[in-house]
Amino acid sequence: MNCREARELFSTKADDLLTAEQRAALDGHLQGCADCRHEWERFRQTVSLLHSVGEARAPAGFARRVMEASRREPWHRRLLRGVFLPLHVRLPLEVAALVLVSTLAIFLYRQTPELQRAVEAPQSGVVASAPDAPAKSAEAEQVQGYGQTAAAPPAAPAPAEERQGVLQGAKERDEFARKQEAAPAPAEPPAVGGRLDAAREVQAPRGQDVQAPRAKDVQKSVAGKPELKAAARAQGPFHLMGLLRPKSPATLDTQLNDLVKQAGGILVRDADRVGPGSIVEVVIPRDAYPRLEEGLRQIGDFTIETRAKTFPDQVRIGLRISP
Amino acid sequence: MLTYQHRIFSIALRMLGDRGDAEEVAQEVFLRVHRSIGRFRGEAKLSTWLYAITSRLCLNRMRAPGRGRRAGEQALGRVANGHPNPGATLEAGEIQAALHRAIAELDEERRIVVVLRDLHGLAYEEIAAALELPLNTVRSRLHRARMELKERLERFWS
Repeated sequence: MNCREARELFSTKADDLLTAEQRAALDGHLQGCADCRHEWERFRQTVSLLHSVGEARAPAGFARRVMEASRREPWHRRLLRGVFLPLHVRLPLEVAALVLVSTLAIFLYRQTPELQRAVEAPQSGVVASAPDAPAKSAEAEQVQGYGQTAAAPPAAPAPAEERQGVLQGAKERDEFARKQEAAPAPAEPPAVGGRLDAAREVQAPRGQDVQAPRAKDVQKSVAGKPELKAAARAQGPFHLMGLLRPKSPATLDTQLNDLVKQAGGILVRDADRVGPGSIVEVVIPRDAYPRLEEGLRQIGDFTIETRAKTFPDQVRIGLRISP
Repeated sequence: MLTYQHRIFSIALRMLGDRGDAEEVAQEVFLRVHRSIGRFRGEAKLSTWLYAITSRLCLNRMRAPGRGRRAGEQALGRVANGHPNPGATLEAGEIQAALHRAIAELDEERRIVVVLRDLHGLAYEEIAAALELPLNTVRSRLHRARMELKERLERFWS
């Protein structure tokens, strides 16, 4: 054993943790090495001195102060401790919260058709969005019937021209409703008669989004047909609702436009072009309806879904294009 | 808490050298234990848990920005001078003061090992568990610390 090895064992010797073999080797070295013996003596004294240092005592009242502090932990500390929970507690809580929120969102989406439509609307091009205040007003009127228009919730302010159109439509409807009430009650209520069930009769099948195209989309070609324009803006329920399955969707827009023109009516689109999934409004004079129906049957498979018993002078037709 | 209050305070005092700092750290140790006692499952000794928290808080405070090394050393000198042994000679008092200064001049990693082992009598295994260090590292640091202290106190041994 050399001096360096001997001195490396000083701590172990001071703690009395040497093995018998180490002790014999170290003692043998110390007997023969005055320097290491001297070093060991200093080392032993140092360790003894360290061991002689007594334990300091906590100040008087320390335990009481700790107990008080533990009882009145400030609110911000409690809040921080609540927010910054240990990871092994916080992580499962966060995962559980995430799963719960996701499940809730999916559940709500599935249970709320409006949400589904809102998601699907931009893809299909169907106008069903919230900013369409006049259309919403029309929808409300369809549900409530003409006689209950006053109770409908106020719609967003419309442009002056549209407001005028709506007012005109309202006047026409009121007049129409008065005539209907004055007339003998038919066996079956007409589609347009100011009654709730009548309005329902011409509504689209349940669960389908049928909404009249916006009145402001009325084509410029109607400039010379004020009565048709007024009818288009009437915002009431359709006198006829039909489903068209076109033979040739690519040429549908042109074919439909030509047909409506030939019938002397106007076409109100819900998009730039009429295509699958579109809803269009056609307003034609009552006399031109047979021609229109015949034309529609040539364009594709035309099915009448709902129809009023009698048509007014200007017939409003809602046409759903099969998706 | 009554069992450990003096020991925890003493460790903090020997590490930090200031009674106010030591009391703050000791109080924080017991508050943390109070808040977390529900998580203590008895896998380790309660004392080891206390020493671990105390050591960590002391080392954190010593490493905190703005706390100079000299501040701790000066404070440790005051601790030594402020607690003379009534029955000791002047020379013994000087040695004690020199010892505290020498401890204060150790780097923090060696100091905590000396404080736990030589001033408070913890076993190597307990120190290793509290500081989360391998046993050999504890032995090595303690040996180096003792050798350094021996050198610093050389003048008193002649």
